Amino acid sequence: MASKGARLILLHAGVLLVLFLCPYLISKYWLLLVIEALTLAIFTMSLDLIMGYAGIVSFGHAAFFGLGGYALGVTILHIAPSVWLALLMGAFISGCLALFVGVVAVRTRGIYFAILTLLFGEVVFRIIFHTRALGGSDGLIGIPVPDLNLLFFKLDMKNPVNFFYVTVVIGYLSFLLCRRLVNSPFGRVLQALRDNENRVPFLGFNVKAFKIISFAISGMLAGLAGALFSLFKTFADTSQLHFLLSGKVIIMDLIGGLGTLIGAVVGAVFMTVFETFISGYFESYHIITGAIFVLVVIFLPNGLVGLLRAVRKRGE
Amino acid sequence: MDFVIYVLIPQILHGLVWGMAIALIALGLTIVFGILDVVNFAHGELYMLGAFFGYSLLYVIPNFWVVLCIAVVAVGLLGIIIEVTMFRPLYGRNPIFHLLLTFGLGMILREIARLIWGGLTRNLEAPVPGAVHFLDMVYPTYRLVVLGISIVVLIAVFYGFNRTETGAVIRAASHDKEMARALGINVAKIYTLVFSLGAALAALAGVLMGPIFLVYSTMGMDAILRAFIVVIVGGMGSVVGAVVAAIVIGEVESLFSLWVSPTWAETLVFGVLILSMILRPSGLFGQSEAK
Repeated sequence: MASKGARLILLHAGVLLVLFLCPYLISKYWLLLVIEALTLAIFTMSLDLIMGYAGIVSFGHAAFFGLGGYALGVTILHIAPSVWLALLMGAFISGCLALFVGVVAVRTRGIYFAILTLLFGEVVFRIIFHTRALGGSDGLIGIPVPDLNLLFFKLDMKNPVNFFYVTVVIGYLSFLLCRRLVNSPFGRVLQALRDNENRVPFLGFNVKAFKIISFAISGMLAGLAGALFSLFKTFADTSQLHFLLSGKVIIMDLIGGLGTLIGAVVGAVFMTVFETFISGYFESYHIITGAIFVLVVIFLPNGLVGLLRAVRKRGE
Repeated sequence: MDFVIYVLIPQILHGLVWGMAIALIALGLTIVFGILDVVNFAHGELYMLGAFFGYSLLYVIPNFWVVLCIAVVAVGLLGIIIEVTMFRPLYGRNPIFHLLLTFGLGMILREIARLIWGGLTRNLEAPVPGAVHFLDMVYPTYRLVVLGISIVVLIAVFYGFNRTETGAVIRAASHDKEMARALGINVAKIYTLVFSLGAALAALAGVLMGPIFLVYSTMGMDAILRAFIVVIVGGMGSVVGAVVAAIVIGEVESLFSLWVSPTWAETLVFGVLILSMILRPSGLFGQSEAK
């Protein structure tokens, strides 16, 4: 057992080291792509928290992601040019929305919950789309990127390398937080919900409260990811709120492997890199993306991580 | 009084036509869900394909009603292919997988349509031109024809499922697969048939709405959300519920357009949905709590 723990620490250290060296190993183009992939990985992780562990499928998760971006934009443009405040606002506003959606939608289950969240997401999309103050269909463009105040010095976030390191730190902390959460007693109840929802109330747990809280946490994290994404892109637009993104993030989670957290990261990075790669060759790459969705759902419901585990099991 | 005759009554009629159109689009969705337990996210794309088939076929065959039949049959056949090759491996798994599968399928179909027909919006020519005068107002004849066809189709489907032998067999297959199989019913075939019917209904709606709304490759995405609302508010799988919900939504949208801009009226419809979810989570005509 001890060797397993040591191996895990080594693995974490190794991954962090590779990420630390990334800016020196890859070109700027790829670095920007990796930043984007990592922000989407945080987003996918937030979904995995509820979909993979609690068995709650949200088909409107882009609403939280996009709203986080808008919250960041509004904060920086109109309240105060602080990265910290803006990121926190992104998480906070999306968390509040998720709390509200959770309280209403928790009355339904399974596929009904999925469609209801899809429609909630659409309401958010439409309201923002028709609001002039938020840029309407153009979105909030030209969000300035303030320096990140680290007490002793100010980090220039316009430099992609610095931005990359900040993203890695936030991503890694989110990962640890999620892992801590799913391994806690709270997370155990969520997994019990996923495995047999009808039995959990007999154990004395308030199912709805657990669902609402996990949904709100997930929304918060999605908002943080969206805020980071918008800071990186320097805009927040309605495509970040669209249900196509909600569907895409579910597939990213599925490709990586549900309920593994690391699968969410794998799926997000894989899809982002793959789409960028393929779109360079083939204009109608959505056909291929769609085909991947279909094939993964039919043949690979446990995702890449699940596949890896199955292969390793066979090897042993 | 003038307000009632010149503004309110046309708007109510408009809402009714709009509502029946939504009901027709949602009909296939709710049937497929009721029987197969599959939420078909690609339903809107089948609707779009129907419209585009109609658009292209009209160049070859100038008769609208013949074209309508061909497009419906073609999409129905496509439905058979989809059900047999993609849906079958997934029965028995969490229904969310079907939702994701059809989400991906929708992406593929949209992109293919964009490749074939391009990104422009198009329109079909109405087979019944002219307008009807009554109550001091003028209303396009074709819209009334569509209203009539919608009502006939909805009644036919309701009757077919609830009052005929075949309908009873289909309901039996959906209610208890094992038992139906033991009684010698070919459940797999029935599932294929029902999905094909759902696809054909989507195409029927697509061609019929072609002359009223615009035809474009992402029209399915706009339609599917409204169809989902109808199906959820009405109670999933309930034909009557879908019709009632569709008319309510059509009227809400149409009447609110008198006071707020149509875009906000659309958003209000979603508000109606949320209100209805809070009051009746299983829908107006839904059977008990969801599975």
